[in-house]
Amino acid sequence: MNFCKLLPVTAVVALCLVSCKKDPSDVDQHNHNHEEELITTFEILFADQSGNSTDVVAKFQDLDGAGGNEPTAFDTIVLNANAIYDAQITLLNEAVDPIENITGEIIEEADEHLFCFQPSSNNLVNISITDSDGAFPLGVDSEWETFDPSSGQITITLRHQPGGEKDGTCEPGATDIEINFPLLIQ
Amino acid sequence: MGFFAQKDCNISIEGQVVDRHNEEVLSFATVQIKDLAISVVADSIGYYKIDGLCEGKYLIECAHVGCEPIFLQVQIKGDTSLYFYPEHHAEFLTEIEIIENKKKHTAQLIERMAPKEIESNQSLPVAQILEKSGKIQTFNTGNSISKPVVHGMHSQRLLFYQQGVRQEGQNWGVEHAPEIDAHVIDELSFIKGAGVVRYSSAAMGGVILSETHISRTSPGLGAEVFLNTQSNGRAAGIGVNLEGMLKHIESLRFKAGGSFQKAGNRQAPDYVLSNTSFDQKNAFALLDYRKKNFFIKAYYSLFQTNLGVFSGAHIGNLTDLLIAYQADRPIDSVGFTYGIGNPKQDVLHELFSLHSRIDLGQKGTFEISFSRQYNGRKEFDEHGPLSNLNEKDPELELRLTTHQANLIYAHLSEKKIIEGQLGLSVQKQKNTFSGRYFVPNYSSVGYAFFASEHLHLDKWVFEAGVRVETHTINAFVPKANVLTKIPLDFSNVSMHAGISKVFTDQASVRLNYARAWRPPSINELFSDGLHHGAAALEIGDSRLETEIAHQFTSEFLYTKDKWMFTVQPFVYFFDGYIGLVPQEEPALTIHGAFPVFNFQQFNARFYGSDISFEAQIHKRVGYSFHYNYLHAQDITRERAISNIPSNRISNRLELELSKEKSPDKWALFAQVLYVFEQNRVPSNTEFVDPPPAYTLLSAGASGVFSVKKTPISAYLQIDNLLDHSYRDYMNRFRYFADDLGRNIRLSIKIPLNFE
Repeated sequence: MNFCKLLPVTAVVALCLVSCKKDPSDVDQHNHNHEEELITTFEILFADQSGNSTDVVAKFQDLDGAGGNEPTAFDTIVLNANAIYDAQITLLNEAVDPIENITGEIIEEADEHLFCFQPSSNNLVNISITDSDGAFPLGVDSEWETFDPSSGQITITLRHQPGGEKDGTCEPGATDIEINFPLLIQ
Repeated sequence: MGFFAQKDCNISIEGQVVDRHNEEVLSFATVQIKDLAISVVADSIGYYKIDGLCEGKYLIECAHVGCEPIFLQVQIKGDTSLYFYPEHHAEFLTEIEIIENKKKHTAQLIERMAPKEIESNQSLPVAQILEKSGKIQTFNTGNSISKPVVHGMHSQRLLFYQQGVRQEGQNWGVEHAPEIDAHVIDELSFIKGAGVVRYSSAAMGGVILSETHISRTSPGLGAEVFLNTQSNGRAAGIGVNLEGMLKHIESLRFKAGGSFQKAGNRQAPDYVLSNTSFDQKNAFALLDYRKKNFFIKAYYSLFQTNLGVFSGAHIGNLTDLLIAYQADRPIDSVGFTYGIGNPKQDVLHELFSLHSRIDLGQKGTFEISFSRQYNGRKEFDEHGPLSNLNEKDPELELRLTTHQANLIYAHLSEKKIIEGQLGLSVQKQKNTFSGRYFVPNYSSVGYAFFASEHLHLDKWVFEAGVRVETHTINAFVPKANVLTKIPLDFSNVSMHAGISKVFTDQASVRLNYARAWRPPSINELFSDGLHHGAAALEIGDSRLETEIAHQFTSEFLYTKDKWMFTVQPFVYFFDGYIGLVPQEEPALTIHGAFPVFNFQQFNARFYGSDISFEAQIHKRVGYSFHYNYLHAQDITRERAISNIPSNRISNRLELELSKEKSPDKWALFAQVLYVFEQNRVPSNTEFVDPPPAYTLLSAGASGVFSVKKTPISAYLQIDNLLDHSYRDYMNRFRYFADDLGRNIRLSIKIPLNFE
């Protein structure tokens, strides 16, 4: 009789004890089971095809990601007039140790990504993408042909176009990166 | 032995009389066996005993003031225990009639949802069920994430209680809906405005109370099967609840159940809303036991949902948002599927509670309760991280464990002239996260003491209450990969005073003043990051102070014969209202430029009124009208406040079709909802204008009919009958897509009884 009475009580308590979900982590500890995805640094390296001038690097760096502190580097792209450059983009996560190079991930998922280059005026620079995912351009590598001395801006965006959305244009997908670099042609 | 038993006329029946809905004992009920002219009165704890009965069959009647009498036919062979569960409020078929029974004599503005409204809308999120009352609004993220809103208050200002336990999920997030399945809800009520010192100091909008009850009153096993389906999203759901009472231990009852729901992509009138599928699972068990003046109840529930978040709303930055808004239809609209892709949420909520009560009759009642909750939330962004991570890991995971304990002493003077409560509450919480930073890890401890007294004098009720609460929070904020401990302390006092007066039977007035306060919530203090759905940076401030509200709520009610008119004006003055304030300079990030919103404090004033008119136009025709008006102003900067529901008017007509004398009941209804445009928004905070006003039509039919003596309830409802394209200001995805198109919903309840 007493056992009968206790049975349902025991059942509920047992149910709870068996299934009680536990939080495995401590409040005062970082949970390293997965890290935040962060692109802290965008670098673009320009190599003069004629070899007449030294390489130029322009950088956008925000070590703590969006919010928090201001970007620690936001360069102006300074290029020589009437020259042709090979440009190469590098993406880094400098918030982790060792520093992580994310460019490789983009190249691996080339069929889902596209860099777009939009100068503020047509008489600054002519840009053509020189790499591809096999079907459509990618934009990690590009060729920049500068015109007469002038100044303006160039907007570089990385579009994420998953699920077969990529069609070679900038429209599909969402923006992963958008930086509006000042551009000086001298 | 049987030989002696035949002559034995010393058999006794004893038991208790208990309210069916809140399991409170009912004192001084009358228990009678009319055939023998025996009548006894139960004592103050509802206990009664009848002695000297012979073996045989008896018809026993139990009557209590304000309840329908109960008749039980029993065969008695030996000493028997018999419990009565009278129904304090009769259940009505039409919505209109429910008002009559909800008015408990108190100053507070308590509303109770009709059981039929809950049952017929079981396929909806709980906030949308509450919205059907016409008195609560919702704040939505897409179509499956809904938060209730009362007087413009939601999230940490409007608290949700499940089985008397304050639900602790990540309440602060507007895209975090209350984690509960409608299949566990037997009773749903809400109290508008602060002043419920028993519950919390922070409930500025009020509290919503959800209860699960055992309704079985005789030994045996019963079941209820719930089936529902929806045309929009081709959704279906099933729920089974079992209820039982043991034959030999009538004081022990149990209820257990489970439910499952699945919906595919939902549909706006012109297109499919991609990635809006969801599934939801739920299991629960409830047990109660009574022995004379002791009552104990154990409850366990496990809720889990996978929700797709409309992918057309997941944008990279402000440029994307404007492009998405200008598009005629969502850019990535795809066809129908049950599949759930990213972005999505995987939410689990577990609740265990123990609640016990000792009734000491005139000396009062002690209640002790304990609960543990675990809330696990995983959020997956649109596309997996670029760095080499496992694709199955969420981008953000939050785990919240909460323990609560309460001790309450309630006293009641003779004739219920004075009643009051004294209580102590303790709450411990631990929150940890992994992945993308949004709020830090923290632990917190809170203590509260409260006291409240009610004085009933003839047609007057005077109420007063006070609550002292203290919170200690230790936040562990990551800075340059090191966790910095930030200790915070908040203590303050909340109070409430109310008067209610009934003038004749036709008019009554309720007036309340409350001082409420709340500490800043964890996101208001420490959030610092991109809100992807909103394309905005939200930045917390660890120097924020306590938010204090002075609230005046009231109700003026006038009834006459077949109609009733209520006006519920209110005004709230906030001292240090915490809200998002847009900053002039956008933030420059690697993802582009984003508008920045800082959590700041300002003084605010909310005023408005809920107005209702309900009438029984004809014996078979009922009409109800609800109007919600709300005006919210930041009085520091003299401008409007964002995310405040616009005003709305709802009209509902009900038609009873039941034949007199027939046990079958049939009814039809039609409803017109008009929602005004929200033309009060602060300038420079909205990227696009609030959507225009809209009108929605809905209609339905309900019936209770017998199939082989089983009373089956069926509800057919059509939401957005005309398949009208509209957007609501209180849907965060209004920039990207229209709201749901026509939705035909069918719910069926089949009760089964195994004696």
